[in-house]
Amino acid sequence: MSSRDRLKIAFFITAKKVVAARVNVFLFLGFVILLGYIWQRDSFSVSFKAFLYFFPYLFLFLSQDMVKDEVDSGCLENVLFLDGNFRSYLAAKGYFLALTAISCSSIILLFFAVFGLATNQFAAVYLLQFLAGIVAGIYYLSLGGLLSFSLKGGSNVLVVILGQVFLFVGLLLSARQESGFLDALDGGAFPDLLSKVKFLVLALIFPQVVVAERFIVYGLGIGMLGVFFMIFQRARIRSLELERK
Amino acid sequence: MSDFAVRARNLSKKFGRVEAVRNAAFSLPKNKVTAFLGENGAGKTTTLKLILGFLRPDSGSVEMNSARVGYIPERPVFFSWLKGMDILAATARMNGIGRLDWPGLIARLSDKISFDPGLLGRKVQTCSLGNQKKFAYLQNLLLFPELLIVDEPFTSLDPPSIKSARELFLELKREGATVFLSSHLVSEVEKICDEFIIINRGNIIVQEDLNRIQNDYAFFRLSKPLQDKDKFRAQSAWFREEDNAVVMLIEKRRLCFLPDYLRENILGTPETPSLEKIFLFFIRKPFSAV
Repeated sequence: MSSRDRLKIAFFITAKKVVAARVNVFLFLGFVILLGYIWQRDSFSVSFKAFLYFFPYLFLFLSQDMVKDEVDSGCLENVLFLDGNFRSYLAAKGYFLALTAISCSSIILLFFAVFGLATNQFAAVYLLQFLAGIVAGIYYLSLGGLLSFSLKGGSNVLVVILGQVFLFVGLLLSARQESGFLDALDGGAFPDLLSKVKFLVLALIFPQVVVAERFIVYGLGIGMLGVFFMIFQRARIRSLELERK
Repeated sequence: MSDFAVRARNLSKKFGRVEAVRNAAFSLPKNKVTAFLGENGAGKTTTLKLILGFLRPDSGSVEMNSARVGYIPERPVFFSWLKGMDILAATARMNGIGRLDWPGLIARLSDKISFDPGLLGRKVQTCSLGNQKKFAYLQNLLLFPELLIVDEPFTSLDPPSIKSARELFLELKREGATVFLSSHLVSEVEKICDEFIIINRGNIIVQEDLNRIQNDYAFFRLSKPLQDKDKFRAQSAWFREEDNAVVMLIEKRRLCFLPDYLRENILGTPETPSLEKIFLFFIRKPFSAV
C-alpha cells in the first residue's frame, strides 16, 4: 500500500469519526449560533472577538479519543493497519483534525470578513489575530493528543478545561493581591521576572491569550511549544505497540 | 523463489519480567495450512502480533515473503463509528478495487463465509460476535490474501459457519494461498492442516508435517525407569513424562533399531497419533532419564 493510500484511508476513517461524533457537530453549530446571538445583541466587533478567542477550542474538542481509546480497544489490530501502519494512521489523524478545525474556523472567518469588508469594519490585524488563534489551536491539538496517550475518552480535554477553570477561579479569588499582574496583563508589558513567569503559566494553560493584539508576538513561543509537543507525540507513536488492555 | 511465506528467526518478546516469546524460530511453507497450537498464555497471539508488526520484537527478525497479508484476530474489534460498507470501502481502496466491481464481488465473498450482506449497512460493532467474526473474514477476503493469519478461527462461529470456514481455508490453499491458524480447537484444525507448530511457555517445541507424523510415527508407552536418553534421542524419537510411565513418539520403521532394554519396557499396543494427542504429548514435561 502506498503512503498516499495510507493517508487517504486515515483521512477517510477520521472524517467519518468527526461527522459521527454528534457532540462535535452540535458544538460547532452551537458556537455559530452563539456568535450570531452576540452579533445580534451587541455588535460585529464583539462577536468577532468572541470568535477569535473561542475558535481554538474547536481544535481542543477534536483532540478527544486520539490515541489510548483506539489502542486499548483493539480496533487498530485490523488488516488495514498491518506492518506498523497503525502508526502512520495515528500520525495522519492529527493532521486531518488540524485541517478540519482550520477549515471550519476559516468558513466562519470568511463570513465575518465579507461582512466586515462590506461595512468597513475589518482590519488587516484581524488576520494576524486569526493566525495566532490557529497557532493556539494547534497547541491545544498537540497538547490534547499528547495527553490522550494516557487519558481515555474526552478526559484529556476535560483536564485542560479544568486547568483553565482553576486558573480563572484562582485569578478571581486573588484579584486584589494580583492587581499588579492584572495591570501588567492589561498593559501588555511585564516589568519583573515573577510577572513574566505568571504570564508564561497563563499562556500555557490558556494559549488564546496570544490572540490579543498586544500578545501576538508570544504566539511564536506557543507555536514552538506546539511543534515540540507534536515532535514528542510522533516519537511516542513511533515506539507504540498494540498491547490490548 | 523462496518456498516459505514467513520466516521467523529467534523472535523474543518480554512484557516487563514476563518472557512471552523466547527465541522462536519457524517458517510457514507456502501453499499449506499450518496450525499453531499452544495452551492459554503460551505466546501464540504475541507471536502472531510480532509477525504482523503490531508488536516489535526485543530481538530476532521476521522475513515476510507474501505481498498481500490478511489477519483475523480472535475477537475482531472495529471502529464503533464505521458501518460494514465503510470498512470494506477502506479495504478495497487498500487493494485497488474499484467501486464498480463491488456488488457481485461482495455477494460472492459473503457467500463463502455465510455472511449476510444485508448487515453491511449497519455499524459492525452492533452486530453479534459471530457476525463480527464473519465480517472480519469478508474484509480479509477482499484483499485476496497470499497469506492469511487467523487467531482462533472458529471462536464465536456456529457449526455451519465453522464448516464454511474450514472449506474456505482449503479453497484458499487450492488457490495458492498460505493459511496460518492459531487455535485451541485441535480437532477442527486437524481436518485441514498440513503442518503444525507447537509453542509452550514462549518456546517453539516442534514444527512438523502432520501427515508424516500420522503415517510414519506411533506412540508407545514405556515403563519407568529408563536410561540412556541420549542414545535414543538420536533415533528420531521424542519422550515425555506421563504419570508412572514414559510416552515415546517414534518413527515406526526405527522401532527395530531400539535397544533391547527399551523394547522390553514397551507396555500395550502402539497408538496412532491424532493431532490432539500430539499436542498433549508435546506440552508435557520432557522425560529426563535417571
